[in-house]
Amino acid sequence: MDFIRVRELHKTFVYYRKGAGLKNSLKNLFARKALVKEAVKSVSFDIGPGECVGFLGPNGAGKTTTLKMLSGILYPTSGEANVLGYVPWERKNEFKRLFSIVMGQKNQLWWDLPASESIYLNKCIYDVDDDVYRRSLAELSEMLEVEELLDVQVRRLSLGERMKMELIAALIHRPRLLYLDEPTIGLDFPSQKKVREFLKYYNEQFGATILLTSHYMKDVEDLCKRTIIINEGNLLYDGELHKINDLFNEQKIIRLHFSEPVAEQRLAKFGKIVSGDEYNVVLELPKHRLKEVSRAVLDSFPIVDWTIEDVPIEESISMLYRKESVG
Amino acid sequence: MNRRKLYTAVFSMGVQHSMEYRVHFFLGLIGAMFPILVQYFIWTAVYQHSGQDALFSYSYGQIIMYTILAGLVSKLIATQFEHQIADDIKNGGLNKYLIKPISYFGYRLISFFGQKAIYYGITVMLLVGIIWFAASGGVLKVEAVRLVLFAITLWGALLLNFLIAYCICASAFYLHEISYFFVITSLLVNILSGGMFPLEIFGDSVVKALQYTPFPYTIYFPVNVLSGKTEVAAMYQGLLIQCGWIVLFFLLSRFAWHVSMKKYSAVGG
Repeated sequence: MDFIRVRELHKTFVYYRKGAGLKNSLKNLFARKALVKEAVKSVSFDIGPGECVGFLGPNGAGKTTTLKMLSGILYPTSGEANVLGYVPWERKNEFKRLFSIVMGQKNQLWWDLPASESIYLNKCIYDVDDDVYRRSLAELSEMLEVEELLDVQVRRLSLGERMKMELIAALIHRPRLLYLDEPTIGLDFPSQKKVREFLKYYNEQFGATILLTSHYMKDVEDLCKRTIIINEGNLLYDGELHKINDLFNEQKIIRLHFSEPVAEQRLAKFGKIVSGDEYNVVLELPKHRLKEVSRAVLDSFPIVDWTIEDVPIEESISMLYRKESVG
Repeated sequence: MNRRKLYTAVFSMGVQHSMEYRVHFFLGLIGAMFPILVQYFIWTAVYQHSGQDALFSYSYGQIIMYTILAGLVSKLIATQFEHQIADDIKNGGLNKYLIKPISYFGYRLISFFGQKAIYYGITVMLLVGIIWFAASGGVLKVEAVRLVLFAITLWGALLLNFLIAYCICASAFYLHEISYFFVITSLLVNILSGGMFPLEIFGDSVVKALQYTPFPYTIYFPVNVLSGKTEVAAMYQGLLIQCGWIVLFFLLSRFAWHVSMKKYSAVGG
């Protein structure tokens, strides 16, 4: 059986719009026009046990709304979901014991007390055995290198330290399923790396299923084999991250460096000029023209160095977003 | 499931939380004295100029004692969590409780008791001093049964006031900016509860009408049980009515939150 099964999940919100200025405020005071936003439109997917899936999409795509429905915080407008054998929004206590959600932008710890207090509270909430608790806490805090900070009030911790504490608090009951909503947002590179390594370890060691949203491609590249991309509430892509490029006629990138100045427009006939100046030019062109163009360029320009690359994954994903919003 | 351990932890975190900002904690205690002092001067002036021994059936000594006791009880039962709850609702902090196997109501109640524990201890010490002082001054006749009933009604008052405030908090699901609404309601509830001055000041008909509301059972009633103003029979009757209101508001708050939570989950937090 699938771990997570989502079928035609749909969520609409009602909201109000207010124009700028006092006049519009007064107008809104008496008559507000209700507008409907479709945050998630008919999204379906399955996730198996132990999978680590990246959940991508631009801001406002419906990622967080989907995670909220899958954790039972929100009811969907229509559609079905089954997570670990439960319907999330029925909010059964047995279901709540099986998962955790960590939101990079929301704080779940008690602000004025040391993180160890919040972690201990979670131990009591999830009824974790004393021995298991002690071992987990020692192990998790050692891995994240925050043993020394457990007794410091949360408000005195840096963002990176706080995020690590959030992870410990979320994992103290060893959930089988972990939702992560931008866990590395605002963190410096060493902290991002540490958090990634840690999540990878947790996924492998405990066979936990992870559904991760992030805007840092590195998070997704390092952790997730599979990616689900949504935009404007629609599912655009579900598959391996690196196969996204295949969707775009296998475009290739050629970087050229010249020994003497070259007028850019002379290269325009070979492909799309992505960027460049008179010494460096980046060309994008279809794969089937690669051989022909390479030969022509090498023959007719004063080249000192050149490389052929795939289109960066970020670029492909941006193209995917644009394709959706245009057509 | 080990709920006792969980709620012990929540209670202890409540206590720690109330002590975390030490200056704030002591200022809160000192702050409770100011309204009492102001009222002391007003009543002293009123009684000196009226030329009467008793106003609204209270002698000068009795009214001062009422003011002090009511001030202390108001401070003790004051909830102060309305803004936290409204903030949880508005900014999605409620989500972290929705996804955990814990009841928000139980969590808030126990945490409230935890945050009140030290206040409660200090209030009890102050009360012992005041009762001793008033008794030796002849204003108060100490009776064991009244002391016991006072202690019981005080717990009832704490619980009832929590439930009333918790019901009012449910309005945060519907109103977006709520801070002033809370200021008004808590002031109004305090006045109607007899936290400022004895309800007799409003006249007999108002006192009678208020008997049918829950408010007097949070401050006015416990204080009068102690002071001896309430007749013996009325004490037990009042205790029953207080229990009735607690049950009613318990059900009302659960219902209000159940309905509001459905809406919250439907429209998002």
